[in-house]
Amino acid sequence: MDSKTVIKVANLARLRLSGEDEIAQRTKEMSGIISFVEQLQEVDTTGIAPLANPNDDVQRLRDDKADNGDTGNSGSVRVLSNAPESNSGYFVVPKIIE
Amino acid sequence: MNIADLTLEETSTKLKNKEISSIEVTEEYLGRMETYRGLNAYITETPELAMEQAKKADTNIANGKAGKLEGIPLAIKDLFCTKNVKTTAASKILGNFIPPYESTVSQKLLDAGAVMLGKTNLDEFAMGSANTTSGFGNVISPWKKNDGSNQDLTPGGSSGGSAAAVAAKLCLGATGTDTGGSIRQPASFCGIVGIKPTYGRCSRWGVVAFASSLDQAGIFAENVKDTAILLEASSGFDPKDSTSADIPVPDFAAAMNGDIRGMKIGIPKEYRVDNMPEEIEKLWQQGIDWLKSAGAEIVDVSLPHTKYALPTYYIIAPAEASSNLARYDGVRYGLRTEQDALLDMYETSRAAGFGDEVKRRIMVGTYVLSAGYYDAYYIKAQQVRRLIRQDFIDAFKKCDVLLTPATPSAAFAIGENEDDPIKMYLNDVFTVSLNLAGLPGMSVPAGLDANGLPLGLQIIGKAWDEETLFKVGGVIEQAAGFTSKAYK
Repeated sequence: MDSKTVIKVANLARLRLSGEDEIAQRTKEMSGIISFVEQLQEVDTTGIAPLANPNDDVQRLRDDKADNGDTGNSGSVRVLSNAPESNSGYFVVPKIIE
Repeated sequence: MNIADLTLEETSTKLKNKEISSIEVTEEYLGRMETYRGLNAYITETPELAMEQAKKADTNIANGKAGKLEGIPLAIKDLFCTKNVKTTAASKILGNFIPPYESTVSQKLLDAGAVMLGKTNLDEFAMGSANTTSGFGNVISPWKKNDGSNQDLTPGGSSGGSAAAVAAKLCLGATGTDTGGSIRQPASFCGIVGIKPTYGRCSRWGVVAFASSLDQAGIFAENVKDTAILLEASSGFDPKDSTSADIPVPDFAAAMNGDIRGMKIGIPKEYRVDNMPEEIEKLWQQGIDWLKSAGAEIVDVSLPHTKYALPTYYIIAPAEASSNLARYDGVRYGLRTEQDALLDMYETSRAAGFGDEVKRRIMVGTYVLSAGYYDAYYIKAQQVRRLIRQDFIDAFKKCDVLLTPATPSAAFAIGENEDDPIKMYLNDVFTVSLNLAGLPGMSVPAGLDANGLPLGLQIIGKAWDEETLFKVGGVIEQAAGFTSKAYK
């Protein structure tokens, strides 16, 4: 684990690092955690299928049918009610085209 | 009669016999919440809503339409979305979030007639074991050491607010969630009962997601029977949760008949960890003796991959968290920092909104899922996860339940174990395997340590066999005669 990797991971995770101090701190703690989990490499897992769901269930799919949940007909209004910025029924984001 | 001295079951009986009203009960608990506000157990109190619901409950009782929890005041962990009531996940990034919908579990409790007192504090996004990562301040345990030090202790985490609220009698029961031990560890630290049911027993719908294949809702109450009553009301199939199980919900309280004669209790040898405090060892042996005297048979079992459970968890949980928390982008809800460019807005909003532990886990999760590391870490961890689950399947061929300590120590002081993340993670050494295997586990208060602080025993069951947990839990509760209380 080095600072270059930490900067790359922070970029993938869309987390702005505050500066050199945070980069150093994150590098140190990530090294610690990754070396802690490294011990899994000693387990022989040849031929073992990965387990993603403890009950082995295949996740159900619902019918492909629109519903308003319990938000009623005013669903879109209420969904927008938590938006930091909205306009005419749309979410507003900073300009993405120059 | 002091209303706060009554258990949930006793309160319920008195309500239905009209000896007391829900308004009286609710007022008593709201008053206690005010008196003990210094514990910081609640992030949001909802007194007006509670009084409205109490009034309705009294009407329902008068009209003979009482539900199973009619008029019972409960607390809801602030990870469960509650319609029109602020839900923060103890994160600044959701500091002003007002859900337009109700989580299935809280809806079920309300449908049964419960009164909601408020939303309890927790570690941010349920990531922590001491309730010190909350964006809204630590929770202080109502317990103190008996040495007169008056030092503030942690209630445990992540469901620290719920556990403290139940222990201080600031509610009659509370919901929690448990991803690696977040119900069982705080229950143990606070001298109350906590159950994490089988994965899929309680719906995850409307619960702010941390690690979806591990997250499970559950219950805190001051005794085993009250826990059984609340779990039954919270459980059941929900088409809105794709991993909810479509199987019947038993009458959990009815399973508590005290008869464990001939039952086989497995003792996993790998849980005798290095440097285990003598008190924990002694308590465990005490538990074994109690069950033996009640007629159970003790069987030694082995869970050989136990030592790999924590490292497995600290790959899978951060991986799922990094994916789940990608949704907090400052667009649809939550905190936004104003920026001219979209990417800057994402990055600065997330940097400002998430706390340190959450960032740490997002970073680790992003790393183990990133190109070149996915197979070595994430897939490897999922393979070991299968081996861990297989250990339990093999052990349960020889026994009906397992008995272990719930935690490696009693509650520690706020601020302890904060210097190294791994130190904090080790709190979950006895609890985390169950989440990986999807199994139910219950923590039952069983004794006090030399400082007068509670210690819990953990009962681990087969998938869908919570009934046996309640049965054994009831026997331990009775044998332990745990009557120490944190509240006055």
